[in-house]
Amino acid sequence: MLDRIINILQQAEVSDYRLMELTTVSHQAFFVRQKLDQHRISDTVHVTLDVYMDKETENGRFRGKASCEVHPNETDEQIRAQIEKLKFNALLAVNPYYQLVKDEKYREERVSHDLYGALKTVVDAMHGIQDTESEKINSYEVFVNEYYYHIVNSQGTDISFNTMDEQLEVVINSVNEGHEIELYHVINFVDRTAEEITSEIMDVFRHARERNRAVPTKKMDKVRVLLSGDFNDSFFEYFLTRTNTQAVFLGYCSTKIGDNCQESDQCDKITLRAVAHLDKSSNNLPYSKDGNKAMDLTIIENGIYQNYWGDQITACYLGLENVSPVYNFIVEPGSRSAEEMKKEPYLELVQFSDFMMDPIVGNFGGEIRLGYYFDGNTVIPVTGGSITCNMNAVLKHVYFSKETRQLNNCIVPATIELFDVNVSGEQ
Amino acid sequence: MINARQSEYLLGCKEKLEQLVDILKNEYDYVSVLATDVSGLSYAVNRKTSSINEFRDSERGFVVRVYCNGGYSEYSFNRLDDVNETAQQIITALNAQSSVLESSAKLKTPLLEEEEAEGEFAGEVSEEFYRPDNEKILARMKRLRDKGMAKEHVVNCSVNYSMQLVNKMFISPSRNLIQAWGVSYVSCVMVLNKDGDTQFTNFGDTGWQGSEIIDKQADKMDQAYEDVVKMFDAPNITPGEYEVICTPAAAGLIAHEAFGHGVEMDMFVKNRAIAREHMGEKLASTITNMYDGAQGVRQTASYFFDDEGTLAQKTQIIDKGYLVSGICDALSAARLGVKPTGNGRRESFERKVYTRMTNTYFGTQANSLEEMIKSVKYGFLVDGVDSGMEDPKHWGIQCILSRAKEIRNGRLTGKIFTPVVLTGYVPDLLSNISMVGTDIELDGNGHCGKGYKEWVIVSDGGPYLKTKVRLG
Repeated sequence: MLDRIINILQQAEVSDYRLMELTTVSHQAFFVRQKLDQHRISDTVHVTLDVYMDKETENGRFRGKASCEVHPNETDEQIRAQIEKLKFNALLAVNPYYQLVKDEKYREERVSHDLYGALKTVVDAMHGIQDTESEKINSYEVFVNEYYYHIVNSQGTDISFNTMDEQLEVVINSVNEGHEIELYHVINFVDRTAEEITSEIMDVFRHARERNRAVPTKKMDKVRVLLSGDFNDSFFEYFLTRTNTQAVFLGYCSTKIGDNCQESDQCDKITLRAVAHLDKSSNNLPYSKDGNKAMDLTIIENGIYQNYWGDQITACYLGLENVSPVYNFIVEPGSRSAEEMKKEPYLELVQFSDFMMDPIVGNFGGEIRLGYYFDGNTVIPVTGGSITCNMNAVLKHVYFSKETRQLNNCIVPATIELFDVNVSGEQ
Repeated sequence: MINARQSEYLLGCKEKLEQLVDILKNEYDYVSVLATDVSGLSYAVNRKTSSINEFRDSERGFVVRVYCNGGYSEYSFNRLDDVNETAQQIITALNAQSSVLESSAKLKTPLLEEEEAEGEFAGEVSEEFYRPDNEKILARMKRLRDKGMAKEHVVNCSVNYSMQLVNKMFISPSRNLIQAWGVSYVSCVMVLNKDGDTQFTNFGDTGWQGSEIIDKQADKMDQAYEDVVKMFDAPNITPGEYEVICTPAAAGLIAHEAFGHGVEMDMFVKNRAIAREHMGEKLASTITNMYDGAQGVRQTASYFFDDEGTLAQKTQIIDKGYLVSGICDALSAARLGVKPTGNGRRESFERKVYTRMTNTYFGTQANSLEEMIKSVKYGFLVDGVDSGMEDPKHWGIQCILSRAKEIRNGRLTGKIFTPVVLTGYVPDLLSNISMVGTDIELDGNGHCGKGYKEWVIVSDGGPYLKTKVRLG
């Protein structure tokens, strides 16, 4: 289909173009308890076309872009009409000139994975999980997807690659003395064994059991809080937003390379590196949709911003010659072990109903679904109440655990130690 | 205004899709196909750039649903060439997957019994939806942006406007339905920087109207700016239970999170919603009424039939404080032995149907905002919706709001607190509703997820409400 569109574009007098063809095959199964609710297959091709039109004025060179999806059943005549509309619209919305990615080449032939087999592996793993006396599987959904990308532009870039990902969404119930609670858990992954899937679900069972015997969180002032959950990636994604070219260009962040975000001695300095490939990540895309290669890149070293990352247009506007997308990242471990962090009283939070991070203002927090309060003698599971913190304050006094864990596309410290946090809860 | 036109593309596919249904019904006990053609333009301007792109939720494709051996399965695709070949492809693929899942017991689901229905439905839209004057639209947006950028501390003011034309066709042996409508969205984000600190505010509007909606944002911008400037020096709220007045946007968030998710009846099938056990019980104050429906109001989640071919309706969920009804998709309704309410929705033709909210809102009463403020000894007017999370199993609620305006002795003091986390037990919050305003305002700029996926466009709102709830 791309060849047909390119032929039409070559006669259409556009300044530049970019086409992305995404072929997706998705196999899906939905269960209530262990019974099959329904199953689905989706087999689609989506083609996105960007048309660029340039304009020279006395104020300089400008470029406009307009986009649309070209649907598989469209005729040549319909595609021509679409392109004419895009040309017109692109010239109405012109911006300072920028270049497309030039002459980037990468070719993979399309690979068809055994999606039936992959679906069966996950479903069999789930069928193998036995309910315990207090915990049971409520429902789950399995998605197994393969993608084939083909990106072409008029500046000689021609890239194609395969990716695959899987998603398991599970709801667990736990009953304690007639009181039933549920835990919602999502795993995004690729290439996991049945044992690895089962092991993660068993951890959710344990959290469900703990939450069900938890007592309401008390209101506490200036308490030491340990963040030890699946949301720890959101804490570090704050720094990715702060260095994203689009966020900087639009003024959402005023980050400058060389800025120190941790001018304090009472903290572990953050070192965060983007990595092009991370084993077991479902996010290993070798190129961005613009055609930029994913690279290994240091974003922050010892609390000092080192590099921006992002998209082609805003990178050009910021004067960057090379820009990389970020799909995976690794945060260096901290100076203290989790065991050391737990010697003094603490409130360790492992689940929020929805952990919210506002990367622009820096506020983060949410309602506590499961935590553990240590008063110096005993550890008590707690639930309810909430915390609200701000990054600017937190970064002056924060430590990270020596232990790290992989959360799909990132490896981050397993525990983040915060100080002087006010906790809303029972009086 | 004109009636929205039915999609030429869908009409062009109709014969082939009818043939497809005819072929597949020889193989399956139930067959239907939903065809979608959603198109539109999104315009964006910010401090330095502008663009015109295809609307984010545009799509064109088909999904076939079949029933065989006591279970349902679906096949989504977007190429339609040879009908026999497509039918064979569907049969082969679904049979292969059924074999793979053979060891799984099936959830008992009766065969859908559809009443016969045929019809062509069209909403009213302005001619602009078909012949937009893009230059004029961008000029309107740039005027609004320039007004924002002229304000002190503003580092970026972005304005986004979209016009969406939705066309869907549903064909089964007993149903032949086609619909068309249009909706527009405007949203504006102002980012301010003062002495290195950043704050932002957003506002907007949605509805079955054209680009005149952009001009209506100028007044909202002034109020939003006045509030966000105060947020730089705003303290955190002292956690506690307060008398709280909710703006229509905050009331909408509560309606959506508090009861909307809790009465989605696919959650009843999974035993995930406590509401199932409390139907007919009094759970809110007697002045509380709540509704959901793709009919009854004209907003972003209004339509004539849902993605399973069920005709849309308006459902009263809470009547004078009593929980009287849930909302339901067709398969869940069949499993529960009730009638579907026209709430079966898909994120796109590529995704499964779930029970989803449409336009969800509180009903009105007779109290003015002034009366409500006067009645508060110490409390807050909460506004600026950021996000919410439901807990249908236990009726917990968490709403993140950007600001709370202090009320002392019946007057707004001008002091603002931020951010605000509203938490509580839904029946307490609803039972504490003591005053309800006179006018409903709905906003449809948001997407609602099922868990953390399956995003669909919804609107929510209500009048001003006074209640008592925990803020932190």
